[in-house]
Amino acid sequence: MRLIGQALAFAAFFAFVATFSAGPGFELLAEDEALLSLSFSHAAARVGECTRLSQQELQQLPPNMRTPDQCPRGRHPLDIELRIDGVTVYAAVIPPSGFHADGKATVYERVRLGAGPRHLQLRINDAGGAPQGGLIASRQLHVQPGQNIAVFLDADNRRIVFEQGEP
Amino acid sequence: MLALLQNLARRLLGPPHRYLRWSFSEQHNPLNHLGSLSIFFCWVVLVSGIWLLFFFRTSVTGAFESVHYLATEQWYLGGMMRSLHRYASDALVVTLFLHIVKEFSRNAYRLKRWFSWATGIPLIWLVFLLGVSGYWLVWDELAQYVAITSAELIDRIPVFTDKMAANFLRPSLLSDRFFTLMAFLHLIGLPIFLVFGIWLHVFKLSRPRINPTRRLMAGTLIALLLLAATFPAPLQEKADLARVPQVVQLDWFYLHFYPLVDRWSPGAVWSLLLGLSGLLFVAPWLPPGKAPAVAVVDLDNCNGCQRCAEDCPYDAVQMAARSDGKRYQQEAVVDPELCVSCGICVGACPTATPFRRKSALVPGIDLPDLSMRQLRETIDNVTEIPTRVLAFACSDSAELRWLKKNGKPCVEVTCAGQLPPPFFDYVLSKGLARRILVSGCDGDCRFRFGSRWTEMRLRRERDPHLRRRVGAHRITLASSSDSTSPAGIASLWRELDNAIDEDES
Repeated sequence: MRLIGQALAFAAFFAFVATFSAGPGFELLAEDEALLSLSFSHAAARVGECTRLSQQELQQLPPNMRTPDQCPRGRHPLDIELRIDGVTVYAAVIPPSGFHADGKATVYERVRLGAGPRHLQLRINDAGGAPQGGLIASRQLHVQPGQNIAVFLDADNRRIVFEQGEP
Repeated sequence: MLALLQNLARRLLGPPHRYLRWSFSEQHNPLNHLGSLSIFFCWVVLVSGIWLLFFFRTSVTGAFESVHYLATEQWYLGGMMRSLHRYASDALVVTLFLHIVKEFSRNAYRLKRWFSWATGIPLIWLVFLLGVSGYWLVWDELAQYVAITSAELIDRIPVFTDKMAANFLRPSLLSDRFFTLMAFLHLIGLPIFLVFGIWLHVFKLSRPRINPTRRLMAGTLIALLLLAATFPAPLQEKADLARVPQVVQLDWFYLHFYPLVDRWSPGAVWSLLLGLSGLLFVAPWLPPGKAPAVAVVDLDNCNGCQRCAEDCPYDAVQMAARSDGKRYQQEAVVDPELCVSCGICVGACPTATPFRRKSALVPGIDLPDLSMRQLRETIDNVTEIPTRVLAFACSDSAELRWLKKNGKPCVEVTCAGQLPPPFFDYVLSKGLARRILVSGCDGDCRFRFGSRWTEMRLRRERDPHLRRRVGAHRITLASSSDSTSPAGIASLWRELDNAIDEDES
């Protein structure tokens, strides 16, 4: 009788373990949804113009600091806006990293979007509002359920990329 | 509030405890071996993990393929090992959780016992880190979810400038190095810390129980094998960063807080986890308590016999060279930082005999808050003496509350192990009671060895023995029977009453 009791105790314990070891399922996306992942790191423009020092000014500096171009250290924040079908779904002003605000600004955002034809537009300003600092790109996509759409900045070529994964 | 929560935990654990005591016996009761069962599950995880390691490949494409091979082609061994690895890991979380609840319910984490409690908290983190890193390595859809969500959590730590989660944005960004790093953490880095953490967790304890009983280990292993053979651990579809799985089958033991990252935010989840850990860490001092006075050695009565040092569950009594010039070689020395004032050392002292009348009852070691002299006075002054049954009950036990509530003659002791066997002899031979009921803690002793040492002393297996002239059948140790609960103690009381009637007839 006690052996049966032991078997029942083991059965109950491990049934509980097995039940919650792989379930119940957690829904990441609805059936007709896809995910847009906006992610990149980018060093925005410096907050001021570089100035070129004269030879006389350079001589006054210690030898290890004699750089002809003296640039302000800080950088502008990144001003970002993502619109889907004309509606802003993400907008942020991201400060540069580092104690002196001179590093890259990093963007990471995941947005759910419904399947079907979608118009995506990403606007980035990395020069503190200066006209030459604006980047904007739009793309008409046919979004499929379960798809991961990567949106990022190709900083070397200064272009915004929309990469649509195979569903 | 604290007492209410502890009482609630005791009530929740009570019925399963009684059922398991009935089916397994007190010695093999799994609820008395929660810590050692957790370590046993670690062994199963280790051995099965070594087998998986032989076949595992640390690369983006190789990781899933190697696990898939084990689960399908080599299902009879590799698949079994994988299932054992997974189910033992899950069972470990359950026993760990129950271990925490039980120690909390028994108040065995406060005051001087804070160290084992506090060193257990990093172990929880290590177990969860091991579990999460293990799921990452499989590189199926669940692994993809775990990797991205873990990366989002890590990215919330304000140290890193680049986002780790960005590596999972698209397939081309993922590197084999991630798998090498995770494999190193899962196979070497974290386990080393875990072993060290377990050692730290138990090193202040005397005779730490590292392994459960063999019968319990065998039963657990058979049950695990049956589960692994019947329900092999599932493997989900291969991870694909171009897609997002709509539903992932979570392991809720390890990943129960992961959905919160999505529903709340990584920062909120960190706050919750750190807040809970912080709360657990400071729990021994919530509210601050005053430790009872520690055991005191009286050198005039200490003959350096070592029994107190042998029986102390916390290594708080050490033997040192004699300092008073007496002919004995050693004397007992109490470390006040380790002594939890359980009185088990007093129960072991051969000079703690209540028959002493010519000299004062001062044993070699004693508790100032409940000395042997006070205990004898209490016994002498119990009303209704001579009584049919006299009970000795541990303080803070449900049985003591029942005895007091129902007006039964009882004497409160810190721990059953505090009672030297001569006290039972004293009560019975002086005719103060016909029978004695010793109510130990429900299940295993709050002070670890109190019930066990008492039982062995009564069986004359451990010094100091119960004298031969005392009929051991007249002493009932409730913690070794099936009756330790308010209802059970009432029934036991009736049984003892009936036994006395039978004796008389």
